[in-house]
Amino acid sequence: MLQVTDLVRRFGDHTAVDRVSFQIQPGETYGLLGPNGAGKTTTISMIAGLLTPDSGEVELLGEPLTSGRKSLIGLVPQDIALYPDLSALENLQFFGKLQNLHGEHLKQRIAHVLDVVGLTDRAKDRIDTYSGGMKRRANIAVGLLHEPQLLILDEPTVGVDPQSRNSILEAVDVLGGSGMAVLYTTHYMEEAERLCDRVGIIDSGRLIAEGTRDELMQRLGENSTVTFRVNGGAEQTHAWRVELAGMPGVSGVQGEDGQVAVVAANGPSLIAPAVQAAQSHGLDVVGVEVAEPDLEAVFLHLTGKALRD
Amino acid sequence: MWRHVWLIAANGLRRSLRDRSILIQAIVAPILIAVVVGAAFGSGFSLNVTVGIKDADGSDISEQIAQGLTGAGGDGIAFSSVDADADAALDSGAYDAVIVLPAGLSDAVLSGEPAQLDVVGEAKDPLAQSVAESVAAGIAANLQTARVTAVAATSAGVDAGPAIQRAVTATPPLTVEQGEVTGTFSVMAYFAPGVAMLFLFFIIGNGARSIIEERREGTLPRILAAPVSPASVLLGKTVGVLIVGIVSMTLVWLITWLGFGAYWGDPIGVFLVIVAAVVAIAGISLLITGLARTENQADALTTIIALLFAVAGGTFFYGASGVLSDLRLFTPNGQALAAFVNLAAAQADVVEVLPQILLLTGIGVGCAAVGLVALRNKVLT
Repeated sequence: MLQVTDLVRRFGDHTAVDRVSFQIQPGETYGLLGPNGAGKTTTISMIAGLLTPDSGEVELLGEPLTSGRKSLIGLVPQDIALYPDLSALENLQFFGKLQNLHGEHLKQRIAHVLDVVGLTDRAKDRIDTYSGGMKRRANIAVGLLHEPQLLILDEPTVGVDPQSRNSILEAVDVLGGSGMAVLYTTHYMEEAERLCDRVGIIDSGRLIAEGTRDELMQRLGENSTVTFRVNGGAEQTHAWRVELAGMPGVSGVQGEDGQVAVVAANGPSLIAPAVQAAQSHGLDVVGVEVAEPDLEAVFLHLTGKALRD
Repeated sequence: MWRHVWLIAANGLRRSLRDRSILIQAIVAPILIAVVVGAAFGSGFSLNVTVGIKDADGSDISEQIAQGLTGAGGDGIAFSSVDADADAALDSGAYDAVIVLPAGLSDAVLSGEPAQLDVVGEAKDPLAQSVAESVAAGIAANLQTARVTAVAATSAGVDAGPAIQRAVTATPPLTVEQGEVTGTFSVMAYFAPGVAMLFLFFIIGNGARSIIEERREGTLPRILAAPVSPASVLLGKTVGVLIVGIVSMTLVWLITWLGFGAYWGDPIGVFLVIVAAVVAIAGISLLITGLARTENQADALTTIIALLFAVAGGTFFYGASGVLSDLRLFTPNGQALAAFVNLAAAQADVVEVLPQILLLTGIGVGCAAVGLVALRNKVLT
């Protein structure tokens, strides 16, 4: 469905996207997981034809993306890309017509997507009267309107309440199961784990790992994440973190002020020396938890930093 | 492509109609200000025009015409004879326009030949020139009567002298009333377009800046993610602001004309000047938006330029002389107002204001071309 090959984009001296390659099959939900500023939005902007790559190729169904083939893609930007002074219905009519939808077909599609995102009852209300979650859902509705073969969702749950977030995730889950290819960017590990068939981990513009959840977990090997809860000052915690990072088998340390997560080979054996080191820095360890490996741990293991850093 | 252009233009129009501040700026404010100013000047608007009469013929007939005029005049209009060359008289600043009675005028009249009068004026002061042209037209009409009389008398073999005498000394059909020249030029017909153009800078400027605003708010990338070309977006936005500008100024014209009796002149000419003025203002707004580094900078520049053009263009002080009077010609407002004054005061037709229409359109198209290229590079790539 989508083939991205060696995509590069620079802004001045800064390389925002550095030789990124991946592919998405029809019906597959692919997650692009990375912290803010990792290059996710720049990558999808190039895929959607909004930015020209400095080098590399984007192919849809085996052919380069041209203006006439943009209708194959449905883009749901990170920002609420709607006219606040128009109703959801008017926004959908406008963007639908730009996608060359007309008449009865347009009406049917509008009714369908409003139903999918649960906004049928509020369709005639102005967008600026909506809650944050409703705006997000209306934003998604526009991306779905023209039945794209590839739906790109750029961090669609940023800044929404838990209820709306769950509603959005359920909708995406349904879409992924309907045969549509979905490219989903997020810095929420749990969303990537829940929704995506495969995940690409991106950091500093580079795709550093890719695969199914299980394949990525294998990258951790014997590593596990140990989370310590401590009482003490920030300076002491920082000094303790530095000492932890130098311990044998430790591949990543993250967290401040009360909670520090450590990714290490054979994590449980780290507990004793770590507690001892904490005490030597004047910190009280009030809790220890050895967590099941997750994508957060994979990211920490691969980059040495947390997704939300 | 044109379908997308219209969709984008129509979307802009729909949003403009919902914005009450635009309706106030576009229609209510210009009419209100024009009505208030018109009422304020209604009993005290003073026209101050000095028209020179250059007698290059030196005949009894031309002398009688000149004497008749110098004794005529009225509120705000004075006639006096000119000894020097017409151009030199204008350059001296003592005259706003000069009517030239050319050499051979008398012979032409007495022999039944067509006679032609020249009016020399300065483009920066179309009102004075309009007054002089009105007077000259009146004289020409009288001379036509004299010419016909002479031909008829010669054919009949009778003395045409007294009839010609009466014709050439008849008072030209010029009347000056309070606030009006030749009964057609009202103060409101001057201030309404002037104020409307000032507000148009703000309204059209907002429309032009909406391209940058839409990029910031994410709707522009969403439009461009559809099969819509950047050219369609730029054209759609441009068509949208043009329609808003033309409709709003046309409404100001129709309401002040039909509702308040302020006759702006030949409707075709007025409409074409409105279109040309809107094109010029839209072009300048696009240029400002394209060249400004930020949306706020474009906003500030639009305000400064709108006010500068309004003051220099004569929106508030038509009768100003000196530097401001010269500056008027270098502003779209001044050029448009000159055309409006010509249409209203001199009852000029569309051909006579064609130079201003073409100039304004040229300014608009030229500025828009540069502005749109800059906007394309800045916003759409």
